[in-house]
Amino acid sequence: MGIMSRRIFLSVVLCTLAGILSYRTAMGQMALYIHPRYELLVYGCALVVFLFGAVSWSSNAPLPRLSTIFLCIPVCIAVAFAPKPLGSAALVSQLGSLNAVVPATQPQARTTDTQQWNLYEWALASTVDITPYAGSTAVVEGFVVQNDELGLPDDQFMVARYVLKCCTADAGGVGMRIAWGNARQFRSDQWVRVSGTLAVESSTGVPRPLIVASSVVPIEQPGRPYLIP
Amino acid sequence: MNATIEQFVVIFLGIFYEAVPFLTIGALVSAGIHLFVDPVWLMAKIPRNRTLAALAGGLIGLFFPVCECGSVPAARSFINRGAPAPFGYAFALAAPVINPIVLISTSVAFVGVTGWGFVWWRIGLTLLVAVITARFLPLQVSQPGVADHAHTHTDDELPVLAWLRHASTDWLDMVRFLVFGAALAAAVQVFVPNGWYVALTDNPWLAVPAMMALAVIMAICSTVDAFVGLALLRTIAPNAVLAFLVFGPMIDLKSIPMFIGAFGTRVTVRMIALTTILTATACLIIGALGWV
Repeated sequence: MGIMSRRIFLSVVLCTLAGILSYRTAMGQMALYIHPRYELLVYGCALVVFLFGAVSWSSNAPLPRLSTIFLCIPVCIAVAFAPKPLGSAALVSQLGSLNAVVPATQPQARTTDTQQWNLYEWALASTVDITPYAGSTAVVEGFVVQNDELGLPDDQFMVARYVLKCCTADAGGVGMRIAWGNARQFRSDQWVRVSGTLAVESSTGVPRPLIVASSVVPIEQPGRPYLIP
Repeated sequence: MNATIEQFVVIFLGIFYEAVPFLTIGALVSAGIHLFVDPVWLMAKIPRNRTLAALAGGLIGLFFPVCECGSVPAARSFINRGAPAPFGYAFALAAPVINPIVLISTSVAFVGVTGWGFVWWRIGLTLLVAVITARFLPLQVSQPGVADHAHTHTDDELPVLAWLRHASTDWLDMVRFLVFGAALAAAVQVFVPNGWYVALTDNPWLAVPAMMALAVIMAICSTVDAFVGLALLRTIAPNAVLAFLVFGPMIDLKSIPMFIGAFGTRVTVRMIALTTILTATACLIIGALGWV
């Protein structure tokens, strides 16, 4: 490929990347990968990368070795793979550190009304003493986790969500066990809204929360699937 | 599709999408330094003494709010414009922490929990490790990836056009290392079980190196790592969390390839070795003496 063809190709790749960054952000899909606070920054980056593409075809500077090929990798992956959030498979690998994303301090939940608490707020309450909340009404949304490694009885499954602080590289899971007679009817990654009552088991000496569900309703995956503390 | 591949893709794109704006800012700053900073002025302002130059480099980040993705191209540009190498090295290592954004995020995260002590330890130890490391690295920088900027513009070109051309060359030069580093970090996260460090951190001697290794693997942007560190503080010793917050912004899987591209393999290997030894030793001593 001649130098001019390489420059034109590079311009196309840069402009495609700029297009992907702006399109994903405009469509709300960037929220599947990064914290929303960075979205404005991504728009700015897309504009600059587009300008890079515009000036690079007429530049006479030598192209850094392999730069276009390396740049094609994220572009091709972004085009080839439909946008998707982290799901249950990633959570299973971090079961040993589930809820570790909750800080040592106790930030206040948004409200004292437990019906409005999300899984992160329930995890916050669990780090101190969940026992006083036994009998409280709980309504949580999340994706289903069905996995033998959880060691759950047949009438229980886990509902979980990821908490994002920066990007998917630091996403940590929060989850709660759900008691529901027909627990196996839901496949992993199915999003559900669970309504029920909080129970606290302490058979091992450690209080373990469990929502005894009165209803489990399948829902669409939310536009912003990660919880942002 | 295989769930593991999906997980890799989501984490890889997450790191890339989050890091590429900061790399772009770094490239624009780098090009600005190259075009608008007079080398004679720069040489006159920066001390020639290696230690003082490193100290100045460690502190100059207060005026350049860049994280690790942006600090490397900017540091390279400083050196190319005539700044002493220790100045550039210390800037590359310290600027991800010693900058206004990270100082605020660290304060917000920790002051209410640990008081100011933890914040000062993070700042002080980062500066100390960066300055000592930069002081003892080679003065000659081999830069295998540096494109020749001499041809990139003509005198009659509009300054903004010249700036964009320089920035695009710098950006292209570094983005391949970012792509490689992001892929490596994502692969390690996906294929190495996530709970391994929990077992290691039970041992007070292994906790510090384990948390440093975790910081390298997670490759979190320094602008937010304080909040991750805060969450870790619940289960992990404070000196090990300090090691995570000092070492991670300096060395991680996405910044290592960028260091190699900017400074060459020889400098990078010594840089990693020195920062590792210094951070681990300091954090173990701090832990043993109960200072955090």
